[in-house]
Amino acid sequence: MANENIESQLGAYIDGLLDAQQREVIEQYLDRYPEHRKLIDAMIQERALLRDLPREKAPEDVLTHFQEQLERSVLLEDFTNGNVARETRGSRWSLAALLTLIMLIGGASVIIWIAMPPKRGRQTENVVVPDTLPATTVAVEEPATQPAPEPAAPKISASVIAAGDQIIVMIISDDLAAARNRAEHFLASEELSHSHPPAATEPTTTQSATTSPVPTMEVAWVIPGMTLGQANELAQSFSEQPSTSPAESQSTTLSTQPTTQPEPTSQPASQVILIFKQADLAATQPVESKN
Amino acid sequence: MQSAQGGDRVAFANLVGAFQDSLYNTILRIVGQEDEAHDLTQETFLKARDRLGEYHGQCEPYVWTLKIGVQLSISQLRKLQRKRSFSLDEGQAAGLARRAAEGSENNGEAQQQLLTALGQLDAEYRAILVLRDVENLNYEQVADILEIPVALLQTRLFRARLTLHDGLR
Repeated sequence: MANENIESQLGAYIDGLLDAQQREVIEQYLDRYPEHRKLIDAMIQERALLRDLPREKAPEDVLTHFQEQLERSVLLEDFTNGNVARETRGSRWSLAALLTLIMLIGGASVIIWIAMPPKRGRQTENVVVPDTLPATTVAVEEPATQPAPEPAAPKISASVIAAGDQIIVMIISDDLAAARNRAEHFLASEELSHSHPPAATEPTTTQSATTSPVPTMEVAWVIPGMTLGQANELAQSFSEQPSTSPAESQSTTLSTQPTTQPEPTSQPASQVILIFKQADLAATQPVESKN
Repeated sequence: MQSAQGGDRVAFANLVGAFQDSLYNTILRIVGQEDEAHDLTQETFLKARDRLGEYHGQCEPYVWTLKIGVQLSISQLRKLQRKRSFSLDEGQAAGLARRAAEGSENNGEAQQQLLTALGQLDAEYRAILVLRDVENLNYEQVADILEIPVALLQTRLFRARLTLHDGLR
């Protein structure tokens, strides 16, 4: 018999759980090893002593203390849940309001940019945000004088908006794939984990408070660990010429013009990257705003 | 148990009332100190209440509650052993020995020695002996509480008894 098996059988023997045949085998074994019999007999006695240990009753206050703790925890739980629920609702509303604001600002910026006469060149746009929201805008500038017709360069602008511990990077592009690829490349290089829904195949348009249609958000990432510094880097990366298309690099001039340069910090927060399709932004603006 | 799971606080309080003595006794025999046993008993009930949704009739409600208590006790013992490796046995064994001496005049001395030896075992051996030999749970219940196979439990039970015996010599 293997040691483990012998030990199991001896344990069962001590507990009186063996059938007659198994018991006989153990008895024969113990007959051959008297010192083991002595040991087993002692263990049987010690087991009996353990069984005879006095039974202790729980102190009387266990139940009452438990009930008090339970009441406290229930109250605390209710309070906490209530607060959390209220905070969650508040956060959702403020986030929704912020997103609506961003969409409207982004849409207006693109409209202004498109409406400008091409010969003057399009000025770098600054996203107008409240004083509390420092914004950095990286926008596309086209050359003042148009050279020979070439394939249209993708229009990309990226803005960083920081409000409290929330940082939103808003990217507007007419080439979603390029914008998405660049953002993904950046996230991978920074080793930032991100979760995002796939680009909407059937985009839904939400309504803003002013009843104007709000542009469809094509891509949205939540980047839990992204810092303000990284958000700025991401926005800055859109000022670099894409290396994949020589035509783009010749026809597109990108410049960076921060309105308020936020100091990079290492404070992680719940950050968001949004990518909008420029055509949608243009299409959703009221007609009169183009004038 | 079903009423308690449905949010009936009175039903859960009734469970606490029904289980508290056995649970306290088991925890006391494992950790050896009354104050700790008191706190761990309460913590066990609070955790049990939080985890009521995890109970699906897989075992008796008492065994399910006991499992929480034993795991908390083992965890607590291991923490103490790490922090107080040289003073653990003294305090615990003294408390156990005093209670044993008070509880039985005839074999008080033997029980005192037994409890001293029990206090020298490691947390899992102590739990095995308490669950099997003090609480008289069957192998399957003890194995379930400790989350080990029955065959392994049988081996460890024998070794725990052997270690206890060595400690008594």
